[in-house]
Amino acid sequence: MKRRDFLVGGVIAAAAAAAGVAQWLMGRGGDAGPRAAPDPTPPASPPRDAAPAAGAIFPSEDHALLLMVADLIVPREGVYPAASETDLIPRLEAWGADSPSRRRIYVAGWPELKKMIGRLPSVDGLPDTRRLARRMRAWHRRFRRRRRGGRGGVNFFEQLRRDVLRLYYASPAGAATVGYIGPVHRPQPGPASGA
Amino acid sequence: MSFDADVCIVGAGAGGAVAAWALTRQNLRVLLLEAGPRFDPSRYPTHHPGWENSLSPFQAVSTRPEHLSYESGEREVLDPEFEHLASRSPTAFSRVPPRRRRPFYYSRAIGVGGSTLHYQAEAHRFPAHAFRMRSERGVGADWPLAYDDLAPYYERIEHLIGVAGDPVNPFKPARGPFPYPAHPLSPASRVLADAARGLGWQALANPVAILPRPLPGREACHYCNGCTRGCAVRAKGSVDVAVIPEAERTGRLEIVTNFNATTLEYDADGKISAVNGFDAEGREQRHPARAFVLAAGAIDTPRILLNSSGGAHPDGVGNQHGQVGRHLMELLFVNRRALFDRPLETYAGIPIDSRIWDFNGAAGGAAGPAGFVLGQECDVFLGPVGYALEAVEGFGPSHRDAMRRHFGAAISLLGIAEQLPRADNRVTLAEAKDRFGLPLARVETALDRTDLESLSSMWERLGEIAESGGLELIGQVTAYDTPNATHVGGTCRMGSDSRESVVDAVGTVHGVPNLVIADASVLVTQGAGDSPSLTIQALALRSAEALAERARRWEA
Repeated sequence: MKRRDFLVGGVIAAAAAAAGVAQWLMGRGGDAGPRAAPDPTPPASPPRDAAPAAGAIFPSEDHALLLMVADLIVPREGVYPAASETDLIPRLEAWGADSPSRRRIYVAGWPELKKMIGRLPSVDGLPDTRRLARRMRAWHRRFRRRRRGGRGGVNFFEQLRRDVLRLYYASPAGAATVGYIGPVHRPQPGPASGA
Repeated sequence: MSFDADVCIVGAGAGGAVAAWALTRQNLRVLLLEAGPRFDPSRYPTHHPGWENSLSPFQAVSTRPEHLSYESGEREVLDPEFEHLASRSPTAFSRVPPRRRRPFYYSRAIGVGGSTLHYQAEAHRFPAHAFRMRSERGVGADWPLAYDDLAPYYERIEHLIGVAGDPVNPFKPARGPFPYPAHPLSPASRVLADAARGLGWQALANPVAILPRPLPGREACHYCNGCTRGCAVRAKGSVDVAVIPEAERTGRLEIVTNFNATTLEYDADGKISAVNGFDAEGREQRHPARAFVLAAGAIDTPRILLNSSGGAHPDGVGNQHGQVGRHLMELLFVNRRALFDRPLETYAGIPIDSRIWDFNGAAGGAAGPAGFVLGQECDVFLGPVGYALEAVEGFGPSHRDAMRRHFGAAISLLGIAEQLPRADNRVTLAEAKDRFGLPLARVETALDRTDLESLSSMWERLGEIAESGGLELIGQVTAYDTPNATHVGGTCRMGSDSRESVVDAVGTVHGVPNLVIADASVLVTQGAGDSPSLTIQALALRSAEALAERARRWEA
């Protein structure tokens, strides 16, 4: 991939996300040619089974809640999409399915986290966003303070926080938010003379 | 098996590939056995979106459970006096503060190319004093050869793999020009060079086996910084692209991939007659030849020798004095992660493009008895994912703001020291067995006070660089609690006395004239923090040519 292609892909992804078509763009992955589906793992990665069907790890009835948590981890800002706008659920499912230990953490941890979220006051079946954000900060602090992590849901939240960030910034739209042009053909940074 | 081999080599990494190249050029037919597959560099994932979340094919193979050939020995209790060296991260999953060192982790790549597949292409000649540590410094051991003996071989390897560098280095022996001029220093290295200058030190261009100009079949480097995931354009001089194809063109090299060598077979006199092992389908096979080269790395080479005990070699091949597996030297490192006050595109360029050698040749004082090398590397900060997870804390809008502010500003200040060889740091055979029923290697390694003081001195010097350059320190990983064997060596060391070594000055196992070792096992010392691959290759070339000479005499 050339620098221009990657740049174009990233810029288009960011702009189009604002227009609500980020999902389609993610499928293109910034390449000139079409792609069938978004894939956090490029073709050269070790072979694995096809991405699991939606709901394989996270039940489909929980998707709205999961995306709400994800958007508090990476919120939308200006033209830059939120985590939920980067086709997150299938990519999270694929990421979980890629490693048996990660899958175990997801399968065991999500119900625990959901239970903790369920204790918060809710609006229309979903927790109040401000309270949830406050609670998430507390979980994060608790995890870090204890060093060995909290229990169940707190540990899983830390895993989810990292994986949402990981998948977001691996996407062209996420990379575009920091101006990353990708590991592409380029000159050595800086002037050409010696030190 | 129709290929009638003169020489059978186990391991297609830095040493084995060079040995194969040298032997085929001497008109010998070579069978090269490799535990992993052969990879197509164009399939490496470094030039795809999302590449940071992908393993390279060789990383995926190397971490498969069936390739596990060692276990970690007893974990050393940490010395609280050096608690300042404890690894810590502002962002990553926190752990219980360890009271013991973490388990030994053998960082390697399995496949044709070996660890050159993931190396950062540093191409260092060891300093002259490294060959005379006992004589000059009163520590470690002397090599049975001197720098001047190896210099011509260093030069030939530099041309073979394509090394770019600046010959002017006041801390190294005088030398002629490199095959290619040095790559320009990155902005980060320029800042660090200024910081070093303020402390009276010099940051100099690092010699690297990375092409600044294209060669047939190999492109010039385009500074993507993805060397550790494999070079998709073949600019990096990994032996699978820089050495093996040339050996194959002789028509005298046969490569068998996915073959797990397990033991050596020998006659009543102890002369090696075949390599035994298992092919990709798990079928037991035997590969006879007239001579043999072991180049399976500093853990698996002694394991094969020890697992071959019996008959003429009751304690293992070459182990008549109990030296096989001893004198293991791990990688003594300090990584202090830091942020520049402005983005410098640190995620791009050559991974380690400058080094500070002021402490490499020095003796005593801050350098300790052995010496070390300082510098910087990209480490985990290869792209936005690395930053999101390792440089920036928390989540939400504040995380996003910090990502924008710091992206391109993170670096790891790096120090690598010499670990002095000690007999008790060693590879033995474990109770546990591999899938073929053979004992795993057991790796026993601990730090002594000299090691800890070296780590501490590097830690302090790196702190001084950070202060001089205005960098904010944000975390660290060190060998104090995290053993690392990226540069492991010494387990079948060279020497002229068979009571204290395993091989002679040309890599031949004492008492076994048709068996040569050509990997990091033979290193006697570690070059005061210099990277070992060029030395492994120069030694392999020298040993292979000596073996070819002996083979001609056998024929006569």
